[in-house]
Amino acid sequence: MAGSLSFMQRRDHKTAWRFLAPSLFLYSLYVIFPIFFSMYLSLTQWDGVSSQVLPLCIGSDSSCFQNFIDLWQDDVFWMSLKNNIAWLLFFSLSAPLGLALALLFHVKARAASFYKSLLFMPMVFSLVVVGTIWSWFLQPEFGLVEFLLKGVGLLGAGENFTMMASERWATAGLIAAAAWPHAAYCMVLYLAGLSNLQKNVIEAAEIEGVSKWQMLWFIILPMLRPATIIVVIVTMIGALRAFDLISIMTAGGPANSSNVLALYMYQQTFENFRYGYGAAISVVLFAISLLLILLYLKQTLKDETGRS
Amino acid sequence: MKLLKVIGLGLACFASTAFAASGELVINSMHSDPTSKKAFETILSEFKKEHANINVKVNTIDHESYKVQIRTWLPNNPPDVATWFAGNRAKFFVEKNLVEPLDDVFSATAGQFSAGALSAISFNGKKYLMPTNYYHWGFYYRKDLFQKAGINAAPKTWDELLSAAQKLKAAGITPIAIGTKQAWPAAAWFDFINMRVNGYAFHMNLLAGKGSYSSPEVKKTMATWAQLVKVGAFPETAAAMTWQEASALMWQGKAAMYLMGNFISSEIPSAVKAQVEFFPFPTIDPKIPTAQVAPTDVYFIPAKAKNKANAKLFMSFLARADIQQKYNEVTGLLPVNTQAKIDTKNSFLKSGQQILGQATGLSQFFDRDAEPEVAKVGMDGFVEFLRHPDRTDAILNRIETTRKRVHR
Repeated sequence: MAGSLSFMQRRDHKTAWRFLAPSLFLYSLYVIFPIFFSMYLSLTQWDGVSSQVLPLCIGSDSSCFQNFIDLWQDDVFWMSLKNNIAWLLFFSLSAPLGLALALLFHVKARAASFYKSLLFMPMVFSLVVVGTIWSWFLQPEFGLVEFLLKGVGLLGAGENFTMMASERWATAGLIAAAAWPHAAYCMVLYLAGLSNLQKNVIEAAEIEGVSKWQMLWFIILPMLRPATIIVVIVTMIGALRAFDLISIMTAGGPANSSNVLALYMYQQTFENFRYGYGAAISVVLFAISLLLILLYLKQTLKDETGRS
Repeated sequence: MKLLKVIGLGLACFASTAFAASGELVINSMHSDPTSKKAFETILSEFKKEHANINVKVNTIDHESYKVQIRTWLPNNPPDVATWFAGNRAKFFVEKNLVEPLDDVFSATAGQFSAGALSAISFNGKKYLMPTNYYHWGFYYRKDLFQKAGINAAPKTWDELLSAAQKLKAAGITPIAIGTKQAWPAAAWFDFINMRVNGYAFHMNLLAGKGSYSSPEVKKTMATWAQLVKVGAFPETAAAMTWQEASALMWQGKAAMYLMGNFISSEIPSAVKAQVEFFPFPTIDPKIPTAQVAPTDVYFIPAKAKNKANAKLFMSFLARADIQQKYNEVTGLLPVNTQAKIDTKNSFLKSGQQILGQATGLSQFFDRDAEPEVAKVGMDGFVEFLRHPDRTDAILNRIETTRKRVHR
């Protein structure tokens, strides 16, 4: 059939394009165009005010990629990148946590729905609210965690809970706060997956007498694969675009030790008014996200086709 | 609310182009907090009484959005009057020819503004901004805690400050409160110590991007500051606290001193009000004349304003002593016009007027005097310094690298 579509098929294609047109238009305007415009801006040194924006190498002897050269020598950029990697590694722990919660509460009982709603609650909050609540928890002097630690005697009377003031541990506090709503999100995705399992397969396995762990590992997890794909992708994206929570809880501090690329991009662009440099950071962030997700999707598709 | 403001702004811009001839005056203001909004409304009603034929429209935009948005509307579709900051933040726009000179307006009030105040609003020999209010910085301290630690008088010299810190530390009281979750409170320390060690001219030159941060002078500033850090004068939890949270340490009696702007004086809880007093930043080198930090709020006329005649009327109005007095009776800040009177029962305002009047120079604050990028790297560096004074050289080199790139 290659090369020759039937009349009906061709008409279907036309109709399909017509239906797609409005969303394709908006998608290009708000997603595709800004991506390429950012790439263009990353070659300039726009300050947000001047009306003329030319790439750096036009009319001067500096390199078009000066922003990227500066990035390479920027300690805060590397610190942010390192923190983004920490986010990718540790934020993804919320996925197994979500799975565990989903398995625990996937029973038909009134109490289970009550706990599910409680767990889902943080997902409904805006991340700004989550950040505010957690900064209160982790607050030295007045915070809940310090109060509890003093209560059980882990902190002496004159001592303070200094996690969020520490360059080493602030990011850990941030990831813990971010994992709270995200684990709930993963739980919901897995709960949806669990309710779509093929019952006859599970029954057959039960008759065969498999152990609980075998059931989980060889039957349930493979059947949850579609849910897992979504969970992994939203978790990766979540870790890479972490921004609001950090902005609220530490603003990247102390001394940039908890900064990440998305926040650093914002600070450079809208606080320091280096639109070009900010765009260069966003281009790097975009490249990393694209690479990770392409790799993951490619692997997933290969597995899928390999199996069928 | 924000959407309404944006729509309002849009309509105002449209309206100002449509009826330019009929006595319009469009003012964009970033003073969105209740107090300064009320202060502005007070004098605005006065202006409307005096000029009933002018139709005044005010767009109040929240502070942070204003700072971003001004870059869009100022070159393209500006109002007739806008609020801003004195010093380098304004210089940026002045150098891009976006601000109208005001020398003719100032001629009516000659001699009523101090030389220090005028230096913050003049660029290349011309006056561009109308200063309406400023406030002073210095130490707020708990008298009762000082007595408890056996300190009899407020420190006047650096050595006295150091020994006070040691005594407080020994008495189990945090000597100096500071919250650096937002980095700026740390910068006040740099401003003051640098001005006291190296002088006002050196400081302003450095922040204007013309001096080196890795110079021996700046290293001396940091070494002086480090003496206090090494005594353990600052709380180790500083980086996890905002400036308000840190002030709670003082209200609760856990900390004894706080280097802050006078806006803190309106937040002192009534329970400890009687115990809180003020002393100016101590002398470090007696040979150096005393300068102060005094962030100044200003109004200006954009170069592309449509109703410049009305805008100038408004500027002359703002310059008057009686108007500045009315305005600052509400704001609780100090009027810049020296003939305006202040509430002499307010001891904080009195000290403020005194120290600013005697100052040989007024700086605007680190993040207003330095370029935004240098300010950001600098303030992050100062926060790091408070925890790791041993990293001074690396921190100064980092600031210097940024300065060189920005001012190349």
